[in-house]
Amino acid sequence: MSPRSSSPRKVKGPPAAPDIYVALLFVSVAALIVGCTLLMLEMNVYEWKGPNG
Amino acid sequence: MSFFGKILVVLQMALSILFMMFAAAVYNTHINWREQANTQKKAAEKATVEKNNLAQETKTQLDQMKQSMDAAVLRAQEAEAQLAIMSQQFETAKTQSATLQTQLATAQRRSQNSAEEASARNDEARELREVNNVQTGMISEQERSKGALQDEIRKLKSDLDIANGKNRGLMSQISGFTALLAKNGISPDEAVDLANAQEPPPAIEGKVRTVRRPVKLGSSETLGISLGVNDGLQKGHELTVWRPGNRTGGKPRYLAKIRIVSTAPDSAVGEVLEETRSGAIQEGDNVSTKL
Repeated sequence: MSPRSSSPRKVKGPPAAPDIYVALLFVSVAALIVGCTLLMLEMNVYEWKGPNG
Repeated sequence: MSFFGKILVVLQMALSILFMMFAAAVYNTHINWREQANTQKKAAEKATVEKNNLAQETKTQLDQMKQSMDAAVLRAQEAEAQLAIMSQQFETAKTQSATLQTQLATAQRRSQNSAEEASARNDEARELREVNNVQTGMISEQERSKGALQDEIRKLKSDLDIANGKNRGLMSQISGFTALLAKNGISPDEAVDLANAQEPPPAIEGKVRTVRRPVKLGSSETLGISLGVNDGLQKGHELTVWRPGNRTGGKPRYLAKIRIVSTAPDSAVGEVLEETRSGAIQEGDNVSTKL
């Protein structure tokens, strides 16, 4: 994400350094993966075949 | 990164963590409803089978009970019929029993009466037997007496025949003597008195029974004595009246002489000869032909 500017022109600069928010996003992804896995395991009990069938 | 992006990142992270926590809670607290359903389904099927079995068994038992009940009803009806028959038989038997008891009582009374009658007849027969024995003895004794009397009658008849023969002889003699006495002027009574006076009395002794005082002057006292013709005493005989001594040593006392004026077989009447009297004569004094 980039701050709102008055001109639509993109300014190329050095790649942004990962900050705490990126870490929080990774934590969120990990939490989502864990939650989905647990739900899949729960659904597997009822012989769930997955999203594709 | 703008401030709004940062807020969204934080909110996303919080929601992701919350999602993970709910998923973990669901996983940790999950219940296998399918297994539960299968279990319940099997239990339901089993219960259904058991229910059917129980229903079948119940039906079988009901049928059996119905049959048993029908049989019991039949038996009860038969038993009631038998009970009615037995009740009727019982009533009949009761009536017969009462009748038999009445007959028994009557028979007992008759038996008792018969026993009493038999006992009375036995007693009567015993008494009649005793009377018969006595009468038989009396008859035999009378037969013996009759035989003895017949013998005596025969003897008396023979004696009578003999006496008649003698009587006829004596009557012819009497007629001869009477004719002779009449020729000599003597009556037959005077001849008898003379004959008796000439015959002395036998030596006999008796008692004075009665003493009759003289009823008029000039007549003599008369005595009744216990001697008679059977003792040999005859009219005209003279007897002596005397009183024996008492036990204290008294001497016998002479009282008077009497002359026989009338005789009987066992008694005689004498007249006191007053010129020979020596004392008063009492009943019980002795009389004797020879002193």
